[in-house]
Amino acid sequence: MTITLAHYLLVSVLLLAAGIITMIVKRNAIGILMGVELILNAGALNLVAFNAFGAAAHPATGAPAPLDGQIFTLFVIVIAAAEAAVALAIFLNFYNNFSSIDVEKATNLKG
Amino acid sequence: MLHALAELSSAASTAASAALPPSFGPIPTILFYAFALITVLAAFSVALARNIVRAAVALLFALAGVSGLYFMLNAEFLAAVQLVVYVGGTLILMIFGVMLTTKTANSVYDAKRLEVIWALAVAILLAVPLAWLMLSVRWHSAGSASAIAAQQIAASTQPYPIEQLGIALLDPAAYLVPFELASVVLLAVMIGAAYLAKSRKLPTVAQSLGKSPSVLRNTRDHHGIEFAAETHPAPLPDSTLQGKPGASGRGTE
Repeated sequence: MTITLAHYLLVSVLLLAAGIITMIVKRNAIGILMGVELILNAGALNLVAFNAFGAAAHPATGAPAPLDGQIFTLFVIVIAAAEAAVALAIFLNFYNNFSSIDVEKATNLKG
Repeated sequence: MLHALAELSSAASTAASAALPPSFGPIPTILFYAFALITVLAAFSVALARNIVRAAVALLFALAGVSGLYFMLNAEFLAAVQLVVYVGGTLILMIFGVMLTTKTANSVYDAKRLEVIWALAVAILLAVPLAWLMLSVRWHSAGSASAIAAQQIAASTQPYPIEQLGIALLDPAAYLVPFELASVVLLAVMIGAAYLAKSRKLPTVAQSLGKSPSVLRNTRDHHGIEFAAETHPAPLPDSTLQGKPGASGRGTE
Protein backbone atom coordinates (compact mmCIF):
# COMPACT_ATOMS: atom_id res chain seq x y z
CA MET A 1 0.00 0.00 0.00
CA THR A 2 1.51 3.27 -1.07
CA ILE A 3 1.30 6.39 0.98
CA THR A 4 -0.75 9.02 -0.78
CA LEU A 5 -1.33 12.70 -0.24
CA ALA A 6 -4.50 11.93 1.72
CA HIS A 7 -2.48 10.13 4.40
CA TYR A 8 -0.42 13.22 5.10
CA LEU A 9 -3.49 15.44 5.02
CA LEU A 10 -5.19 13.16 7.56
CA VAL A 11 -2.20 13.46 9.91
CA SER A 12 -2.40 17.21 9.45
CA VAL A 13 -6.12 17.24 10.31
CA LEU A 14 -5.47 15.29 13.50
CA LEU A 15 -2.65 17.68 14.43
CA LEU A 16 -5.02 20.59 13.88
CA ALA A 17 -7.71 18.98 16.07
CA ALA A 18 -5.18 18.30 18.84
CA GLY A 19 -3.97 21.89 18.62
CA ILE A 20 -7.49 23.29 18.88
CA ILE A 21 -8.30 21.08 21.86
CA THR A 22 -5.04 22.19 23.49
CA MET A 23 -5.82 25.86 22.92
CA ILE A 24 -9.31 25.60 24.42
CA VAL A 25 -8.57 23.27 27.32
CA LYS A 26 -5.36 24.77 28.69
CA ARG A 27 -5.55 27.58 31.20
CA ASN A 28 -1.79 27.92 31.41
CA ALA A 29 -0.82 30.56 28.84
CA ILE A 30 2.23 28.56 27.74
CA GLY A 31 -0.04 25.56 27.16
CA ILE A 32 -2.09 27.70 24.79
CA LEU A 33 1.14 28.62 23.01
CA MET A 34 1.84 24.90 22.59
CA GLY A 35 -1.55 24.51 20.92
CA VAL A 36 -0.67 27.32 18.53
CA GLU A 37 2.58 25.55 17.66
CA LEU A 38 0.68 22.33 16.91
CA ILE A 39 -1.70 24.18 14.59
CA LEU A 40 1.19 25.90 12.81
CA ASN A 41 2.84 22.51 12.32
CA ALA A 42 -0.38 21.12 10.86
CA GLY A 43 -0.46 23.91 8.31
CA ALA A 44 3.22 23.55 7.50
CA LEU A 45 2.84 19.81 7.00
CA ASN A 46 0.01 20.52 4.58
CA LEU A 47 2.20 22.87 2.58
CA VAL A 48 5.08 20.42 2.34
CA ALA A 49 2.80 17.50 1.44
CA PHE A 50 1.05 19.41 -1.32
CA ASN A 51 4.43 20.51 -2.63
CA ALA A 52 5.84 17.00 -2.64
CA PHE A 53 2.83 15.39 -4.31
CA GLY A 54 1.49 18.22 -6.43
CA ALA A 55 4.58 19.78 -7.94
CA ALA A 56 6.32 17.96 -10.74
CA ALA A 57 9.33 18.60 -12.89
CA HIS A 58 8.60 20.56 -16.01
CA PRO A 59 7.77 17.96 -18.69
CA ALA A 60 9.32 19.86 -21.58
CA THR A 61 12.34 21.68 -20.18
CA GLY A 62 13.09 19.22 -17.39
CA ALA A 63 13.34 22.04 -14.87
CA PRO A 64 13.15 20.67 -11.32
CA ALA A 65 9.89 20.73 -9.43
CA PRO A 66 9.31 24.04 -7.66
CA LEU A 67 9.86 24.08 -3.91
CA ASP A 68 7.52 26.92 -2.98
CA GLY A 69 5.78 24.83 -0.33
CA GLN A 70 9.07 24.16 1.43
CA ILE A 71 10.03 27.84 1.30
CA PHE A 72 6.65 28.84 2.73
CA THR A 73 7.17 26.33 5.51
CA LEU A 74 10.59 27.80 6.19
CA PHE A 75 8.94 31.19 6.72
CA VAL A 76 6.25 29.59 8.89
CA ILE A 77 8.98 28.18 11.14
CA VAL A 78 10.72 31.58 11.34
CA ILE A 79 7.50 33.40 12.20
CA ALA A 80 6.54 30.73 14.73
CA ALA A 81 9.87 31.13 16.52
CA ALA A 82 9.45 34.91 16.58
CA GLU A 83 5.88 34.61 17.84
CA ALA A 84 6.90 32.22 20.60
CA ALA A 85 9.64 34.60 21.77
CA VAL A 86 7.32 37.62 21.96
CA ALA A 87 4.51 35.63 23.56
CA LEU A 88 6.84 34.28 26.23
CA ALA A 89 8.11 37.78 26.97
CA ILE A 90 4.51 38.94 27.41
CA PHE A 91 3.76 35.97 29.67
CA LEU A 92 6.81 36.73 31.81
CA ASN A 93 5.58 40.28 32.23
CA PHE A 94 2.12 38.99 33.07
CA TYR A 95 3.61 36.65 35.64
CA ASN A 96 5.63 39.47 37.19
CA ASN A 97 2.48 41.53 37.63
CA PHE A 98 -0.04 38.88 38.65
CA SER A 99 2.16 36.09 40.09
CA SER A 100 0.22 33.66 37.95
CA ILE A 101 0.18 32.41 34.37
CA ASP A 102 -3.52 31.50 34.44
CA VAL A 103 -5.24 33.22 31.53
CA GLU A 104 -8.46 33.38 33.57
CA LYS A 105 -6.79 36.02 35.75
CA ALA A 106 -6.07 38.36 32.84
CA THR A 107 -9.23 40.36 33.45
CA ASN A 108 -7.89 43.83 34.12
CA LEU A 109 -9.61 45.29 31.06
CA LYS A 110 -12.91 43.58 31.80
CA GLY A 111 -15.75 46.04 32.37
CA MET B 1 8.08 -9.34 -34.96
CA LEU B 2 10.41 -10.66 -32.28
CA HIS B 3 12.38 -7.47 -32.34
CA ALA B 4 9.20 -5.43 -31.88
CA LEU B 5 8.15 -7.69 -29.03
CA ALA B 6 11.50 -7.28 -27.33
CA GLU B 7 11.28 -3.56 -27.76
CA LEU B 8 7.79 -3.59 -26.30
CA SER B 9 8.84 -5.67 -23.33
CA SER B 10 11.85 -3.47 -22.67
CA ALA B 11 9.62 -0.43 -22.90
CA ALA B 12 7.21 -2.09 -20.49
CA SER B 13 10.02 -2.92 -18.09
CA THR B 14 11.35 0.62 -18.11
CA ALA B 15 7.80 1.88 -17.58
CA ALA B 16 7.40 -0.51 -14.67
CA SER B 17 10.71 0.57 -13.16
CA ALA B 18 9.63 4.17 -13.55
CA ALA B 19 6.28 3.41 -11.94
CA LEU B 20 7.94 1.89 -8.92
CA PRO B 21 9.13 4.50 -6.49
CA PRO B 22 12.90 4.31 -6.04
CA SER B 23 12.53 2.95 -2.55
CA PHE B 24 13.12 -0.16 -0.52
CA GLY B 25 9.90 -2.12 -0.40
CA PRO B 26 7.62 -1.57 2.55
CA ILE B 27 10.11 0.39 4.65
CA PRO B 28 8.85 3.88 3.65
CA THR B 29 5.28 2.83 4.40
CA ILE B 30 6.24 1.48 7.80
CA LEU B 31 8.27 4.61 8.53
CA PHE B 32 5.38 6.83 7.53
CA TYR B 33 2.99 5.03 9.85
CA ALA B 34 5.53 5.12 12.68
CA PHE B 35 6.11 8.87 12.32
CA ALA B 36 2.40 9.56 11.88
CA LEU B 37 1.54 7.53 14.97
CA ILE B 38 4.20 9.27 17.06
CA THR B 39 3.05 12.67 15.86
CA VAL B 40 -0.66 12.16 16.43
CA LEU B 41 -0.33 10.40 19.78
CA ALA B 42 2.09 13.01 21.07
CA ALA B 43 -0.12 15.84 19.82
CA PHE B 44 -3.15 14.45 21.65
CA SER B 45 -1.13 13.88 24.79
CA VAL B 46 -0.14 17.56 24.62
CA ALA B 47 -3.85 18.30 24.62
CA LEU B 48 -4.69 15.90 27.44
CA ALA B 49 -1.66 16.33 29.73
CA ARG B 50 -2.57 17.99 33.01
CA ASN B 51 1.01 18.84 33.85
CA ILE B 52 2.53 21.52 31.64
CA VAL B 53 5.99 19.94 31.74
CA ARG B 54 4.56 16.66 30.48
CA ALA B 55 2.80 18.61 27.74
CA ALA B 56 6.14 20.14 26.77
CA VAL B 57 7.79 16.72 26.53
CA ALA B 58 4.89 15.43 24.43
CA LEU B 59 5.26 18.47 22.18
CA LEU B 60 8.90 17.50 21.70
CA PHE B 61 7.80 14.13 20.29
CA ALA B 62 5.09 15.70 18.15
CA LEU B 63 7.54 18.16 16.58
CA ALA B 64 10.14 15.46 16.04
CA GLY B 65 7.50 13.29 14.39
CA VAL B 66 6.58 16.11 12.03
CA SER B 67 10.28 16.39 11.24
CA GLY B 68 10.29 12.70 10.35
CA LEU B 69 7.30 13.25 8.06
CA TYR B 70 9.28 16.01 6.33
CA PHE B 71 12.03 13.47 5.74
CA MET B 72 9.48 11.13 4.19
CA LEU B 73 8.37 13.95 1.88
CA ASN B 74 11.91 14.46 0.55
CA ALA B 75 12.24 17.77 2.40
CA GLU B 76 15.49 16.99 4.20
CA PHE B 77 16.56 20.57 4.76
CA LEU B 78 13.19 21.44 6.23
CA ALA B 79 13.33 18.42 8.52
CA ALA B 80 16.72 19.54 9.81
CA VAL B 81 15.47 23.10 10.28
CA GLN B 82 12.44 21.77 12.12
CA LEU B 83 14.68 19.84 14.49
CA VAL B 84 17.12 22.68 15.03
CA VAL B 85 14.69 25.59 15.34
CA TYR B 86 11.60 23.99 16.83
CA VAL B 87 12.92 21.17 18.96
CA GLY B 88 16.21 22.82 19.80
CA GLY B 89 15.05 26.41 20.08
CA THR B 90 11.37 27.15 20.45
CA LEU B 91 10.65 24.22 22.72
CA ILE B 92 13.60 25.00 25.00
CA LEU B 93 12.35 28.58 25.14
CA MET B 94 8.94 27.30 26.19
CA ILE B 95 10.38 25.06 28.86
CA PHE B 96 12.32 28.04 30.20
CA GLY B 97 9.06 29.97 30.17
CA VAL B 98 7.36 27.20 32.12
CA MET B 99 10.13 27.17 34.69
CA LEU B 100 10.16 30.95 35.06
CA THR B 101 6.42 31.25 35.47
CA THR B 102 5.62 28.52 37.96
CA LYS B 103 6.50 28.64 41.61
CA THR B 104 6.47 24.86 41.64
CA ALA B 105 7.20 23.26 38.29
CA ASN B 106 4.33 20.81 38.75
CA SER B 107 1.45 23.22 39.18
CA VAL B 108 -1.75 21.98 37.62
CA TYR B 109 -4.34 24.17 35.95
CA ASP B 110 -7.29 21.88 35.48
CA ALA B 111 -9.78 22.64 32.75
CA LYS B 112 -13.43 23.09 33.55
CA ARG B 113 -15.81 20.40 32.35
CA LEU B 114 -17.62 22.88 30.11
CA GLU B 115 -14.34 23.83 28.43
CA VAL B 116 -13.56 20.20 27.72
CA ILE B 117 -16.97 19.71 26.12
CA TRP B 118 -16.54 22.84 24.05
CA ALA B 119 -13.07 21.77 22.95
CA LEU B 120 -14.23 18.31 21.89
CA ALA B 121 -17.24 19.74 20.08
CA VAL B 122 -15.20 22.29 18.14
CA ALA B 123 -12.46 19.82 17.30
CA ILE B 124 -14.84 17.11 16.10
CA LEU B 125 -17.00 19.55 14.15
CA LEU B 126 -13.90 20.83 12.40
CA ALA B 127 -11.87 17.66 12.00
CA VAL B 128 -14.54 15.24 10.78
CA PRO B 129 -15.72 17.30 7.78
CA LEU B 130 -12.12 18.20 6.96
CA ALA B 131 -11.03 14.57 7.07
CA TRP B 132 -14.03 13.54 4.98
CA LEU B 133 -13.20 16.26 2.45
CA MET B 134 -9.54 15.31 2.21
CA LEU B 135 -10.32 11.63 1.79
CA SER B 136 -13.10 12.10 -0.74
CA VAL B 137 -11.42 14.61 -3.05
CA ARG B 138 -9.51 12.96 -5.85
CA TRP B 139 -6.26 14.88 -5.66
CA HIS B 140 -4.38 15.81 -8.77
CA SER B 141 -1.61 13.24 -8.49
CA ALA B 142 -2.55 11.54 -5.27
CA GLY B 143 -3.59 8.23 -6.80
CA SER B 144 -0.74 7.77 -9.23
CA ALA B 145 2.53 6.82 -7.68
CA SER B 146 4.12 6.94 -11.12
CA ALA B 147 4.00 10.72 -11.27
CA ILE B 148 5.75 11.00 -7.93
CA ALA B 149 8.28 8.37 -8.92
CA ALA B 150 8.95 10.19 -12.18
CA GLN B 151 9.40 13.38 -10.22
CA GLN B 152 11.81 11.69 -7.84
CA ILE B 153 13.78 10.26 -10.71
CA ALA B 154 13.88 13.69 -12.33
CA ALA B 155 14.94 15.21 -9.03
CA SER B 156 17.80 12.75 -8.70
CA THR B 157 19.37 14.09 -11.88
CA GLN B 158 18.78 17.72 -10.91
CA PRO B 159 20.83 19.80 -8.50
CA TYR B 160 20.17 19.05 -4.88
CA PRO B 161 16.93 20.48 -3.46
CA ILE B 162 18.94 22.38 -0.86
CA GLU B 163 20.81 24.15 -3.65
CA GLN B 164 17.49 24.91 -5.29
CA LEU B 165 16.15 26.27 -2.00
CA GLY B 166 19.15 28.51 -1.53
CA ILE B 167 18.95 29.85 -5.06
CA ALA B 168 15.22 30.56 -4.68
CA LEU B 169 15.73 32.32 -1.34
CA LEU B 170 18.39 34.66 -2.75
CA ASP B 171 16.78 35.24 -6.14
CA PRO B 172 15.38 38.79 -6.43
CA ALA B 173 12.67 37.45 -8.71
CA ALA B 174 11.63 34.81 -6.18
CA TYR B 175 11.96 35.10 -2.41
CA LEU B 176 14.76 37.57 -1.72
CA VAL B 177 12.46 40.29 -0.35
CA PRO B 178 10.58 38.02 2.10
CA PHE B 179 13.90 36.51 3.14
CA GLU B 180 15.36 39.91 4.02
CA LEU B 181 12.11 40.98 5.66
CA ALA B 182 12.25 37.86 7.81
CA SER B 183 15.67 38.90 9.08
CA VAL B 184 14.34 42.36 9.93
CA VAL B 185 11.38 40.75 11.72
CA LEU B 186 13.72 38.54 13.71
CA LEU B 187 15.82 41.54 14.75
CA ALA B 188 12.72 43.49 15.78
CA VAL B 189 11.42 40.49 17.71
CA MET B 190 14.74 40.05 19.48
CA ILE B 191 14.80 43.66 20.64
CA GLY B 192 11.10 43.68 21.46
CA ALA B 193 11.20 40.48 23.46
CA ALA B 194 14.22 41.65 25.45
CA TYR B 195 12.45 44.94 26.17
CA LEU B 196 9.17 43.26 27.13
CA ALA B 197 10.75 40.67 29.36
CA LYS B 198 12.68 43.28 31.32
CA SER B 199 11.02 44.02 34.62
CA ARG B 200 9.73 47.58 34.80
CA LYS B 201 9.69 47.69 38.59
CA LEU B 202 13.43 48.22 38.79
CA PRO B 203 13.67 52.02 38.32
CA THR B 204 11.03 52.73 40.95
CA VAL B 205 12.76 50.40 43.38
CA ALA B 206 16.07 52.11 42.78
CA GLN B 207 14.43 55.47 43.45
CA SER B 208 12.88 54.29 46.68
CA LEU B 209 16.15 52.92 47.95
CA GLY B 210 16.63 55.16 50.91
CA LYS B 211 12.99 55.19 51.95
CA SER B 212 12.13 51.78 53.29
CA PRO B 213 14.39 48.81 53.89
CA SER B 214 11.49 46.35 53.66
CA VAL B 215 10.93 47.29 50.02
CA LEU B 216 14.59 46.70 49.43
CA ARG B 217 14.45 43.21 50.91
CA ASN B 218 11.37 42.21 48.93
CA THR B 219 12.78 43.30 45.63
CA ARG B 220 16.06 41.67 46.31
CA ASP B 221 14.26 38.34 46.57
CA HIS B 222 12.72 38.69 43.13
CA HIS B 223 15.36 40.48 41.13
CA GLY B 224 18.53 39.79 43.00
CA ILE B 225 20.97 39.94 40.16
CA GLU B 226 19.58 42.95 38.35
CA PHE B 227 19.11 44.75 41.60
CA ALA B 228 22.67 44.20 42.66
CA ALA B 229 23.88 45.44 39.30
CA GLU B 230 21.68 48.53 39.45
CA THR B 231 22.62 49.59 42.96
CA HIS B 232 26.37 49.44 42.84
CA PRO B 233 27.72 52.68 44.26
CA ALA B 234 28.66 55.11 41.56
CA PRO B 235 32.39 55.14 40.84
CA LEU B 236 34.29 58.02 42.27
CA PRO B 237 34.92 60.94 39.94
CA ASP B 238 38.31 60.95 38.32
CA SER B 239 39.37 64.16 40.02
CA THR B 240 39.23 62.55 43.45
CA LEU B 241 41.36 59.66 42.30
CA GLN B 242 44.12 61.63 40.73
CA GLY B 243 47.28 61.88 42.75
CA LYS B 244 46.35 59.02 45.06
CA PRO B 245 48.63 55.98 45.10
CA GLY B 246 45.91 53.37 44.37
CA ALA B 247 44.29 55.29 41.52
CA SER B 248 46.06 53.64 38.62
CA GLY B 249 45.60 50.14 40.08
CA ARG B 250 41.86 50.66 40.41
CA GLY B 251 41.38 51.04 36.69
CA THR B 252 43.03 47.78 35.83
CA GLU B 253 41.17 45.71 38.39
